[in-house]
This record gives sequence, C-alpha cells and structure tokens, in this order.
Amino acid sequence: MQVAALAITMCLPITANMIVGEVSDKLQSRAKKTPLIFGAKGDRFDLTINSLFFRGAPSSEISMLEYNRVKNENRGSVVPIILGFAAKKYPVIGTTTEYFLERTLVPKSGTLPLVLGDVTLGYLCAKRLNLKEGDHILTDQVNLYNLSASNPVKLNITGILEESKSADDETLFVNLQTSWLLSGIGHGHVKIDDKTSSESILSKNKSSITANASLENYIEVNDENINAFHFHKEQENLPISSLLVFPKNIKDETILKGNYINDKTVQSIRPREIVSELLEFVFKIKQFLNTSFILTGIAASLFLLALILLSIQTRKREIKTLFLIGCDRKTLILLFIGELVILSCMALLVSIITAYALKSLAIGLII
Amino acid sequence: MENEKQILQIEDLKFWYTGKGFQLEISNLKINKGSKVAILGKSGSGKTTLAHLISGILKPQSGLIRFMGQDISDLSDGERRAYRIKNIGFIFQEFELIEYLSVLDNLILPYKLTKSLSLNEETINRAKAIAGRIEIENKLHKYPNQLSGGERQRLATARALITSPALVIADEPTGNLDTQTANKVLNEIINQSSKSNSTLLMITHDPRLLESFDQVIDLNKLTNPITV
Repeated sequence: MQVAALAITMCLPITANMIVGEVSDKLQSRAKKTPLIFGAKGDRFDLTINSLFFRGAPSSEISMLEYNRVKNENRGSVVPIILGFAAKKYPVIGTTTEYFLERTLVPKSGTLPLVLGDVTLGYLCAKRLNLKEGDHILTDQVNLYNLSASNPVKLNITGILEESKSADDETLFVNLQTSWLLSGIGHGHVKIDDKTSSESILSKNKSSITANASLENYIEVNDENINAFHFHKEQENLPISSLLVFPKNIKDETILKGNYINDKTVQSIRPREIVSELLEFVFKIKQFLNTSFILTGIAASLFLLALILLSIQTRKREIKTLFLIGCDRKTLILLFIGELVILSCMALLVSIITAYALKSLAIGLII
Repeated sequence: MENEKQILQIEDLKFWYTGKGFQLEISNLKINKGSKVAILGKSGSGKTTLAHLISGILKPQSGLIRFMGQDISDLSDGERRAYRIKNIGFIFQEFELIEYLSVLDNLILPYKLTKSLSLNEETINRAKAIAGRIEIENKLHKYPNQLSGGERQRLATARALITSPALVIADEPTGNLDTQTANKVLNEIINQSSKSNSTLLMITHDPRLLESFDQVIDLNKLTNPITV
C-alpha cells in the first residue's frame, strides 16, 4: 500500500518530465531537419504537426500547381506530401523519391514505392503488422458514411525501410499517383467501348459513353490492369497536402520564405520556429505541473510521515522486544530508516517502470 | 565463599519514576546461581521495574545491584547494554516473536541485532541443534504464524537461551493461561533453562505456580524476600 501510494506520487512527475523531454526532443529534431513547409493558409501548428509527423488530415489543400511554382524557383529540393489515408490505422503518405533522399531513408529490403499500387512500409509498421515484401495490405475506408468515396485499395508491399527512430518508422509510403487513387480521383475499370454490354451503359452518344454504377472499379493494381487506371483531373489541379522544402542554403531559404509571405493561397513556415512557439506553451504547462507536483509531493511526504508515526505506534511492542533482546537505539532507528529507504527504492523502481510504460503509450498518442 | 554461589545481590535499592508517586525499595536480596526464582506481586507493585533494574534497562537512584560480583548500577548506558546482551535472556508474555522473520531468524535474532555477538556457522549449528531439541527442526524456514501455540512458546524460550545467558527473565509468560497450560509452559521454561545452566527469574502474579520455584520474592512485602 505504502509502496503503491509513493509510486503513484513519484510516477506522475517522472512521467510528465519524461514525456515533455522526449516530445520536445522529437519535435525539435524533426523540425530542425525540415527547413521550410509550404501549405494552404490556415493553422500553422496543424500544418507543421501534420507535415512532420503525419498526424491527422489537413483541413485544406494546395495543388500540383503550387508544387510546380515552388519547384520552378530552383532554390532546393521540394517534396510534396499527401496525407489523409491510412491502412490498419497507420498513416499512408503519398510522396516522391526525394523524400527518402532528404530523410536518408533506405529500404532494408525491396524497393521504394515507384509504381502505382506499390507501398513501402516503415520499419515498425512491418514489424507490428508482421508483413514483408511481396505481401499485400488493404487501406482503411476513408469515410464509412460517404458512399461516393473510394473503396479500400489492396496495395502491394514492395519494400521495408530501415529503422530511423522517427515518425517514418510508423508510416506507409506510396507514390503520389497511388494517393490520388486512394482519394478517388483516379480509378481503373474494364475498357468501355461499343462492345460493352448495354446493362453497364448509362448513356451513349457519338463522342462519349457513360457507364452506370454497375461498372466495378478494380480494387488492386496488377500487371494486367495497371494500364486501365486513369485520373479525372488535370495534372496541375491534383491536390497535395503540403510541401517540405529543403533549400540549398540559408539565402535560398530566406528568399523562398520571403516570396510567399503575402501569397494569397500558400503559407510558408519555418517548422523550428513553430515548434519553439509550441514548446514554449508546453513548458509553461510543465512549470505549472511541476509546481502542483511539488505540492503533491509535500502532501505525500506528510502522509508518509503520519504513516511512519502510526507504524511506530502499532509496532511499539516489537520495538520494545528488539530493545530488550539487545538492539540499541541507533540500530532501531537505522532499521526504521532502512525500511523507509527500501520502501522508497521499491516505489521509485515501480514509478520509473510505470513512467516508462506510460511514456511509450503517451508519446505514441501525442506524436 | 557465599558470594561465589550468588548470581545477584541487591542492597539498599531505591528507585522511583519522577512524578509518578511510585517507589521501589529493596534493602537486601540475594539470588543463587542456577536457582529458580519467582517475583510475585500485584499489578503495579514493581515486578517489571525490578526485572528492568536487574537487566540494566533502568538505573536505580541509589543502592547496589551486583551481578556475578560486578556492580551494574554504576555502568554507563552502553556498558549496561553490553551486560544485558551477554548475561540476560528475555521471555515475554505474548512470546513477542517477529512475525515477518522465519523461525530460524527469530531464534538467532539476538545475534543479528548486536555486533558484540558474532553470528557464525557454529551459532547456526547450535540454533539448529536447539531447534531439534524443542522439536521444531523441520519448521526452521516457516514463519511464527505457521507454528502451534506450544511451538511458539518453545521457540520464544529457545530464543531467550540461544546466547547461553547466565540469567533468564521471564515476564509473566503464563499470564493469560489456565493452570494446566501454565504448568506445562512453566515446566518447559524450567526444563530448558536447567539444560542451559541458567538462573531463572520469573515474574508472575499467579500464586498457583510457586511450587516449582526455589525462591519467591514477594514485592507486596517489599523489602523482605520469602524463601520457600
């Protein structure tokens, strides 16, 4: 009981400090490695966290037009990111091969997602889902209640990434085309022509044939049907969530950021500044928590002192026996202190183990 | 020559607790080595106080307590503790076994608590031999709450005798027992202390047990010990 009470009291501040420390390290380290993020105007915190840690879906999007605009400035590597999809609850991110170069991610086995329908798994995804190259994974339904949304797609696992100890370990990567396929912009079905059964035709004129809902889309991409996939949007209008920009130098970074300060559709942000701003707020909360933990600690110490005094009262006969048998007062005090030290050490051990468990759980939920 | 026969001599002893209105006075008391002595008296008559004075826990305000020729009333606190560890064994009314220690650890507890007694292989072997004698040798690794009442009592007596003390003080070990059980317990204590050649000083308020003792000190009569 005493050990549990002490352990809980010690566990909370230890956990809070560990979580804040690790979250801050992870946020800062990822932010420092990503000089600029471009995205649709809106919440800069959401844009940063979404683009760096693939948590949540973007509230608004930009298009390939913006990607081309930033890329054409030729001031560094521009990596498009498409968020918002998942498979087995892990985020499915659409990107290009530049992403892997900038993040120094290499496949442990297989290849990067080069072809439509291919997926490369982050290290922990593969480990936890027990999947390997050559296996398949079905994407999650985007919106269960939206009948017009795309159906889940069976992706071909073409590679597993090396462990990077970052958010990339818990992510599935596909190319941009696959992301558009997942969003329903692209699809594949049997060719519709004059030979198509009239039961599948909704309308027909000299220039076009429109199929009805009975025409089934392919739910996986394979060698036989890959050429049947197509996109119903102009290339430059295809959506992307954000751009990670890795300028060649500080000068290019400054110019690029400056060029988009007053842009009407796109905002440019420095993740390290946003993260610092975020952490400042987190540290204020931490300070407040630490103060409350100190007060809780004092209360727990007083409670413990009361317990010790009560224990001495209830063990008076035992103490008297030990004294009569030959135990001196110093040894008796040392026995009680020893007992207290053992209790405290056990509580500390329990609290550290609990704190580590809680931290792992909380970190996974936070970032 | 007569002095050599005596383990304890008390002369002109005066002790009182400040502010409590209690005073113990013993003008002359002699206890022979190896004898079995009962201290008899009503509640509050000073039986336990006398036992504590003899064992050096309390220091008299005046008078002399000579144990095996040495005056213990002049000793320092540390010296009195050393004297107590070396010479006195205690048996308590409720046995006062330490419930969270094993039977063996309870038996050798005096050795574990004091640096002046060295706990070695020989001590452990002696403890095991004693356990064999009192028929608990197969329960050495059990805990006191797993023993029967009789086994607990024998263990408590054995613990008092493990250091081979010259004097065993038993503080009302038969206090809450019926006559038959009290006699059984008393015989066990007498038997064990006789085997260890220890003098037995038993505090009691039960006159039914006096037959078994060589000497009775009746504190109701204070200064004049009765010899049976």
